Amino acid sequence: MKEFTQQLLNGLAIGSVYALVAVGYTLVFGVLRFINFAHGSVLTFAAYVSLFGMLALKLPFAVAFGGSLVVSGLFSIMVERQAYRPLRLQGAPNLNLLITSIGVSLLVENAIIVFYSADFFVFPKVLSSSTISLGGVATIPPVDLLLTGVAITLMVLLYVFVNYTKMGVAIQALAYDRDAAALMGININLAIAYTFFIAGTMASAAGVLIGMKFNVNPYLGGLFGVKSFAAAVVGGIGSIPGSYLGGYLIGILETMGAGYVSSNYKDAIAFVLLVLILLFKPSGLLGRGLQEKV
Amino acid sequence: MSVNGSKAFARGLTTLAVLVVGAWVLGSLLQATLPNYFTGILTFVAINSVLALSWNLVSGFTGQFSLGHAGFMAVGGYTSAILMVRLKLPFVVSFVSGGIFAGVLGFLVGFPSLRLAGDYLAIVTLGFQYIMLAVLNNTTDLTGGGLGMAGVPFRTYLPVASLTLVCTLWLLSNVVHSKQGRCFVAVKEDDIAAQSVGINTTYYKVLAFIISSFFAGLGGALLGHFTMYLHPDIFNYLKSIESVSMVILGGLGSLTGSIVGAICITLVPEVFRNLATLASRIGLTEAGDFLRRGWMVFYALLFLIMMLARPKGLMGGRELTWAGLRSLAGGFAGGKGGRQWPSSK
Amino acid sequence: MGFRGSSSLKAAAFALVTVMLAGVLSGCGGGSSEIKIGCFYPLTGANAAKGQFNKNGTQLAIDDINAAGGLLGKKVVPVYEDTQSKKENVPNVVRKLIEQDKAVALMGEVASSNSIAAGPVVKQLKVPAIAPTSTNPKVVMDPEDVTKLNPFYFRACFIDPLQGAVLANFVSKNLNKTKAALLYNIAQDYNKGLAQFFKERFQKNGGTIIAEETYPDQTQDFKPQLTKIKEANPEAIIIPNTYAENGLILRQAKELGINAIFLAGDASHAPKLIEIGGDGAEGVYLTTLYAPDDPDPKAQAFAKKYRDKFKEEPNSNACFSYEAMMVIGEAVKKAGKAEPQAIRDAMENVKDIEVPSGKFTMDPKTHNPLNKPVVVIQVKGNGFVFVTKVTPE
Repeated sequence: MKEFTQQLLNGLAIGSVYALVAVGYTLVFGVLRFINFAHGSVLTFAAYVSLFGMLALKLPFAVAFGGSLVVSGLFSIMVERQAYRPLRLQGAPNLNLLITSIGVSLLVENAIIVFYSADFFVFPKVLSSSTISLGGVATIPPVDLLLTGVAITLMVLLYVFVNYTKMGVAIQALAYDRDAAALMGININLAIAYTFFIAGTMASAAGVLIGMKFNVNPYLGGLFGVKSFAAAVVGGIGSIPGSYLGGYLIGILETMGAGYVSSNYKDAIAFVLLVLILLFKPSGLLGRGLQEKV
Repeated sequence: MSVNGSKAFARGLTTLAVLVVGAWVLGSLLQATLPNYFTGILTFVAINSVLALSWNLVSGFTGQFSLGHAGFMAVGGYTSAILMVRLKLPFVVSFVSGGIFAGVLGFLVGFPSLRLAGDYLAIVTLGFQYIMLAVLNNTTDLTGGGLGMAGVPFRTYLPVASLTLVCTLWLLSNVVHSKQGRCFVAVKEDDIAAQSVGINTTYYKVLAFIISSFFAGLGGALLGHFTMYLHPDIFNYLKSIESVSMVILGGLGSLTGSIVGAICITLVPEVFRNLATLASRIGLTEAGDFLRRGWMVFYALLFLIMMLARPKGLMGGRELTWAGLRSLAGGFAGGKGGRQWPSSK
Repeated sequence: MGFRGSSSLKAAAFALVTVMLAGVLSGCGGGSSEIKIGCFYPLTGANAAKGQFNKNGTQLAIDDINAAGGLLGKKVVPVYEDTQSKKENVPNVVRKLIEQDKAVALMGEVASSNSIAAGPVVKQLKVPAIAPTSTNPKVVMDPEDVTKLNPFYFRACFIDPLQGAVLANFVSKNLNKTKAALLYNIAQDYNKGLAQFFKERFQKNGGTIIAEETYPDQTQDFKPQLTKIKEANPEAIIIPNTYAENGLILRQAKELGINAIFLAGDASHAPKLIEIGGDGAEGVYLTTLYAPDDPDPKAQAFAKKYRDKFKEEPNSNACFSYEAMMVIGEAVKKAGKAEPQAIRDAMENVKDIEVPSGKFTMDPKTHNPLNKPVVVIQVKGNGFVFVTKVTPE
């Protein structure tokens, strides 16, 4: 029981990361219908921005954190403008967008290695490293609390934004039918920019916090990004609650799998789950079927 | 294969024979005369071309995006190595078995996932590649796992690699110019329209995927018998991306373009390596260090610029042919001065 | 040609070809007044931080050799190449060093698996290579028959069976612990090999392995495995992994409140271990090749020289690259000519040369140095402290 509680807490922390990143995949897929492979690199980028803010500019953590969210959100918009919009306007197939996003992720990763460093970096100590004991049953480090707290706060904010603001409703309309949304007078480019900003900031929050929890390296976004995408698909791509569900599901199952079945196959668990879900419920757990228009 | 009757079939076979002999003789000549460094690079060009061609069939021609080709390469590489080392089978048998086994796995992965629309295949194949890595890492008794598999016999001499390349090119060009090939393109251009004219799209998707996995397996086997050492690490996500870059650079849906792409991508790091050494030698140590590291940024930029400025790649979907070689290359360049694939909608 | 590209594209292609030719041709020639040593290290990629130490150590040795008049009256010139720590890059990198740069001897790589990937090439092209810090036994073995020696591969450091045995003996005899757990990267030969060698000796010593957990590459969250290990309640936990992985393992173990003693191998001997591990790294024991605070005056002298030049603490990668380069230097001197075959023959018989970690003698039967001591160090405060030195008989 003790071990189970601890594993559950471990899984929740990792699940928060997957959920935060997965929602970005879902949002972008919703409006542009392509897998944004560069999404994981926004996460890496944000970790470096906040690290730079704290180490080089000597900013306090809260400022560096907030700043990196904004900078990475803007970076995300810039990537859309420079790399995706030209293709979008040419009416290029979605495959080209996907390939371009792979190029963006290669560029970000390699630029960090070449112009900064390939080494591992550690965040300056912000939170106490002593853990909080939960009645002797389990322990939880402050960074996990912060991670889960930030994740839930951002999720609630996103819910409010999407459902109760004009722009949020516009994004939903866009995801439903881009052409009809445009006819309704929605500024498509602005809505897409908003989408990328939100996706970017949520991934950045995850990036900074896993940078603190683990360490910062150029490959940070790689595996997290891929697994988060799996989470988005498992939950049902296009569904915001689905991506949260998928994120926590994969986080917890992976941790439990490693703890109780075999840690050797830890990475494979997310993908086996993904394949199974796709086989039996191709639209994901909470997804609505995406119909292709003739 | 082709439906043009026995005469065309005989002509195809003659072409193949000429190509096979030509590739073998040229490969042997180069192997005998060039330093190992250059034959090594040329061998890599051939291996990478096979991989790029295989990826091009499924993604360039059929429009199904696969990100797990490194997984199929691993299957081919390990199968061939294990059959040869453990079961002492002859090279040709092991090599072809590597391809076949990869093809079978291609069927197993492709059959369920190709029913899904859109980019899902990308993520499923990526998942397959990660699962493959986990399996390889955990089957220590058979594959050496993380300890790697040393002692893979060296068989990828330049003639072997160039022969494989020529055969791959010949076979794939026959496939894409056959009825099946046109169905592949139909599936790519418009899945639903293709269905409505009676094309069983799932069948063609799976078929393309199996053929593609087979050649990826052959490519992996070539790689294993070249480096003489296999390790799960070699077959990671970036290895899949490498094939993607080659095809993008050369042009989606252009067979000869894949080879052009493979040549460029294989040469880029070597050029930078030599430039870096040159810079260091003439005293520009800093510049040398930068070049040694900086080529990766160049590589990523090339990828992006290509995608934005020339999304159809260097060859733009056309084939490289030249009149003087028409007779020799007749098997895969039946068209007049290059074949234009229907452009995307 | 069937490509209708714009003139700028053609110009770009032409420029690329020109540059390429210039680059490729640059390899030809090269004065005979120099002796070129090819060094292939991971200068970018996951192992870059280690590779930089190797590069610095090599450079220090070459500077020393040149300051003393070079070899055979010729200047020694290193040619550094980056492997990016990718196994499939290694063969081409090594071929380039041998054929383009005319290196007469090679140094590299850092990770055992990358050195193993270089084995076939050096054997085929008959140029001796020495691995400064690759501790897996297979490195110096014949690529086609792992029971025989690769005539052209040598090593400057001890091997993992020895390191594993020293670790096991240290746990059983010095620390008096009998219950141990293992946590290692299953995807890398170094980690997996060292874990096996530890296990064998530890069980022979009468100890029991009460938990054995693994993880794949790129893992950052070790809590599932650590939680499981914690439940088994071992006295000692062996983590034969790299510094980056171990830093995280130690930090997360601390977060879970694990109080067992942690022990690691030479791949963790880097300041980043303490930086990443934070409080969790305190008290960890490491077996390594060299400690800068080893009381031996030769070790001290090397540490001072290194600190003066590079403004950082040397580690075992730096020290053993220095030693490996010195071994090549001695072999060239003994051979009397800068030819690969002659250097190889001489290298087998290098004997009793003075190096920072003691006397260096190459064993021609194993291509490993004889009696390389294993140093045990411990993390204390913000650095590594020398604990003891074990010299095998």
